[in-house]
Amino acid sequence: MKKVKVPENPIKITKWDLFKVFLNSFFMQAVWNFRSLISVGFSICFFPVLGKLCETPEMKRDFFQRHLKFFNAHPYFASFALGVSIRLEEMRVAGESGVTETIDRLKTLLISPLGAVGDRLFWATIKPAVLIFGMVGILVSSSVWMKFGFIVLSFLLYNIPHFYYRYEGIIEGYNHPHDIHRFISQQRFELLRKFYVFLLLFGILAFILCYSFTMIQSGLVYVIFFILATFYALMFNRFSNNFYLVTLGTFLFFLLASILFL
Amino acid sequence: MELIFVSFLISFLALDITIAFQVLISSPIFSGPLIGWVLGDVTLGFELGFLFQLLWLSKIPAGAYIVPEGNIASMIAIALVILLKESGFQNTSLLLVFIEAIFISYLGALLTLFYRKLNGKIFNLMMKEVELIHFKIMLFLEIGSMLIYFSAVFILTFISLMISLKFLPGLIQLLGALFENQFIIVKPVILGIGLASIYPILREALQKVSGRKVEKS
Repeated sequence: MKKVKVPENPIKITKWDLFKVFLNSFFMQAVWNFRSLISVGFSICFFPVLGKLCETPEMKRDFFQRHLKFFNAHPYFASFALGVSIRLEEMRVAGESGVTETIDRLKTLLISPLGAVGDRLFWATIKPAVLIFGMVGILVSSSVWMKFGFIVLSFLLYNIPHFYYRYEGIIEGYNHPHDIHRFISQQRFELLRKFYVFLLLFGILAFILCYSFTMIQSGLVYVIFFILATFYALMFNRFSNNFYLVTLGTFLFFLLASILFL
Repeated sequence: MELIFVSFLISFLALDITIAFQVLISSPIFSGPLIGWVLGDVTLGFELGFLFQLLWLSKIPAGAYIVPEGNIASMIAIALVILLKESGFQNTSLLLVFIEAIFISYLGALLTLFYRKLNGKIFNLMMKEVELIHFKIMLFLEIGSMLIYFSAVFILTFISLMISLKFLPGLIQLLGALFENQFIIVKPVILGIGLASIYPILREALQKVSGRKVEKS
């Protein structure tokens, strides 16, 4: 994948500028709204490079009007679109024609893959895997310091890929604006995802075994209620997707059972 | 003073849910020990973080989907259980706080909905200011929006803690004296409900491992 050659531009975006954009990207969802979704946070990320991309106030106005249009993506993976937009805006400043339309089109095309890949990787895999791993750590640790160690490890397990893709997305988007789709394919993240899927499965299994063992030591009644509550809530979930109904319904049912039978 | 400080901490951590950072510090296993440390009982903070974590794990805040605000509810619940630990009826205290947490998670979801609608108005204002070539105001509006959310969570937390600390001790004493021994099942039942709620995640993970189709839009 070769880098895009940009026509000579008197003002060059530096890595430091992109790093400042990366820092701004932590507020990507700050003004999330139903009309434009994350476009406000996305547009504000450009502030560190705005002076280099727009010379006059009118150019800045047009710039923001372009980027404040509807846009959505996974908050970490939106950085790919940020990098692409910065590079294309730079090309526009350098005098390349038709770039404005390309930005609009590319951003629209990126909405689905950035959302799907990011949601699947982070929300559906890495986040639950890391949190369950942290839970198991708390369960098996005997001292507060060990628990703290597991929490720190969980924090790192989540945030190392998070920070990496947030930053790398800007750099890759900037370096490869026209073939960015190659960098956001599901296959690219397959190995990482598999690692976290195994961590998730290991975590759930370890949680069930360790917690059951702890409960058996405390008394059989704990194990019985734990198992029954799990299956009852599972069955309830099949009839209703309402979180409040399932949770409170199951909880109150077992409270009543405990009052009646214990 | 302690309540104000705890409410301030919870409101700050709540920014991590979607608005800023998103580094997971608002999740119960991270926020629990922190709140426990502030309130003088880290061990209980760890235990409660562990207890509440599973419940909200499968609620993914993807796109415009508004989920129960489990993290805010958990943080308030953790603070409450620690503040009420002197009551002497731990199981009853946890039971009442848990029911309240479910209600708070619903209020939190409503708060998110209103906040997002308000952001729509901020967005309209921003568009007008951009048209008038006032760009710096965009930053002020962004910070203002975050402050509004922070204040709303602060008010929700502070009022919840105030009301609960006023009314729950009496109720705990009343119910605790009658049913404390029966309520030993509260913790395993909460964890059981949590385990059942993550079943969709587990199912998807198993499908991924076995190589079956899992593509979702």
